[in-house]
Formats: sequence, C-alpha cells, structure tokens
Amino acid sequence: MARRILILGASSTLGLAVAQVLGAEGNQLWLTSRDPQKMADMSRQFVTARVDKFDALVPEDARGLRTEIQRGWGGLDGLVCAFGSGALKPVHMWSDQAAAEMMNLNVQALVRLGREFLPLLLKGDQPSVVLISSIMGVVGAAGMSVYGASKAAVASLARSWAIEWAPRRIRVNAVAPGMVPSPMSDTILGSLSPAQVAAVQGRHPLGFGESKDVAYAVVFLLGPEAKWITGVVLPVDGGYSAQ
Amino acid sequence: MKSNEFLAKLGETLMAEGSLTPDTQLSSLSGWDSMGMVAVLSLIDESVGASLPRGSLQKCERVGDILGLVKSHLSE
Repeated sequence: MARRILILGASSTLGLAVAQVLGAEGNQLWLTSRDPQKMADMSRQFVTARVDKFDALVPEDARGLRTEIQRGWGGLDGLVCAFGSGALKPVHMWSDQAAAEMMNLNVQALVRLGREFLPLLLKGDQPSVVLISSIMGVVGAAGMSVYGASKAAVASLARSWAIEWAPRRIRVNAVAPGMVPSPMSDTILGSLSPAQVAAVQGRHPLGFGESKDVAYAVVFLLGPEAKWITGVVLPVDGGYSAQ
Repeated sequence: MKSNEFLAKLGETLMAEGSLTPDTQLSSLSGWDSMGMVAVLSLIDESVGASLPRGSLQKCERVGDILGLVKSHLSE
C-alpha cells in the first residue's frame, strides 16, 4: 500500500537513494531541497512526487511546509530527515560561530521539525520517523568532535522521541552510517592524504559503503515490517563499530 | 590576506610557542602531525579560499614551503 512519505534534504546523496527505493515501491513522495537546480532534477526524476524548496535553517520554511502538507495530504505516514553538514577539523580550529552553525543545522533544526511535524504524524497511518545519525556519533575519531557531537545528539533525539511518542504509536529510529561516498565525504576525505584515506577505509571491514546500503536500512525502519522497532540507532557501517 | 597575518594564524593552528618564520622547521612544532596537516588545509581553505590538492602538504619541511603553496593568495 502506498504510504505518504516526506523526505527532507532529498537531494542529498542519501536522501536521493532513499527516494529512489521508496519511489520504486510505489509510495507517495514529498521531496525537499534548498537548491533550485536539484529541485528541477528531482522533478524530472520523480514525476509523481511533490517537490518543494525547503531550508532547514529557516523556521518559516518548516511552518510553511507543514501547512502545505496538511492541505495536500492531511497527514504523514513517514518522515526522513536527510539534510545535514559535516566537516573534518581539529577542535582547536572550530570557531564558536562555525560550531554553532553545524549544531543549528544538524540538531536544532530537527527539534524544530519534530515540533512542527508532530501534528501531521499524529494523523498518519503507522507513522514512522527515521533520522540520520552517524557512526561518528557512536565512536570517536580525530577531527570529528563537533560533527560527532551533533550526530550523537541526533541519536539521542531519536531515542527520546521514540519514548515520548510511543503512546501515540509513532515510531522513531535512526541509522548511523559509516563512510559512504558523497559530496560530504569528499569534503572530509579530500583533506586527507591517500595513506590516510586508505587507513579510514581499512577501519571499515567491508570497505566503504554505497548510498543504497544505507537507504535500504532507512526504508526498512520506515516500513510496517519494523512495527515493533523504535528507539534504535542502527549502525550501517560495514562493520566499523563492531571492532 | 597579508603574509604576516597568515603566519600568525598558522602559528595558532600548529600551536607554536613563538613566532613562526619561513625558516621554522615544521617538525619542531608539536601541532605538525597528520591532524595538523588537516588543520592547515582547513586554515588555508577558510582564510585564503584556496583548495589545495590532497596530500600537498606531505612534502613540506619548513613554514616557507607552506607559504610557497599559498603565495599567490597573500599580500605583503
């Protein structure tokens, strides 16, 4: 049965992979991006989907999108938050402003979205939320302290929302991906020497992943097959965290 | 950015105890390790807007070698 699913940050590498899997299953998709060019690309690729401009850092965008979805669908069966930013930077290089900006996008924006979209989830059929954490929110790594702290906060949001919303039958889970090639990982790996990149890859027993590897986990957690799973932060990391 | 401003920022980045000069040996600085190189790339990107190729700092031995990589972005 087609479900009504909103993917925020759908033009990100992971968001796009999730949209492709969900679209192939015949779900109704509402996709967002803050980049007009990427919105146009998604409109061509997902001809039946609704595509809207949305910036997670703009509070009015969240309220506006909620109003639009209320008008168009009446409720939400699934929500995937796939936006975010990352950076590899030693802690003594982080300015207060840069750290606050990352926390604003990766954490604070989710708090706002949880608040804004709860009424829509309450009107959904077996509603389920999936957040994107990171294995860097589980383990430590040089240069990843601020990003890792933000992703640990995402995992914490997923766990607490799961408990808070369980009486309302809304499930909330997160995935914690390892390294998957993407513009964000290029930013991180781009500042490393080839030997350092090889070392990072070596820490993934199954090597680097693909966006679809993570997308299938997201889709599973979203779907009714996972109806007894909530509050989980699922590593999808090629064995990185098993060591 | 002026060369002396960049040198001051480079000193902070590499946690140098005194002022840096072009002749300062990078190996004498406690912050010059693999993560220090990442920090310097980040500094160069943020302060002068230059994106250096991966691993470009590996061959640098003196502060002057780093200055040479970004000289076109610095003023006197």
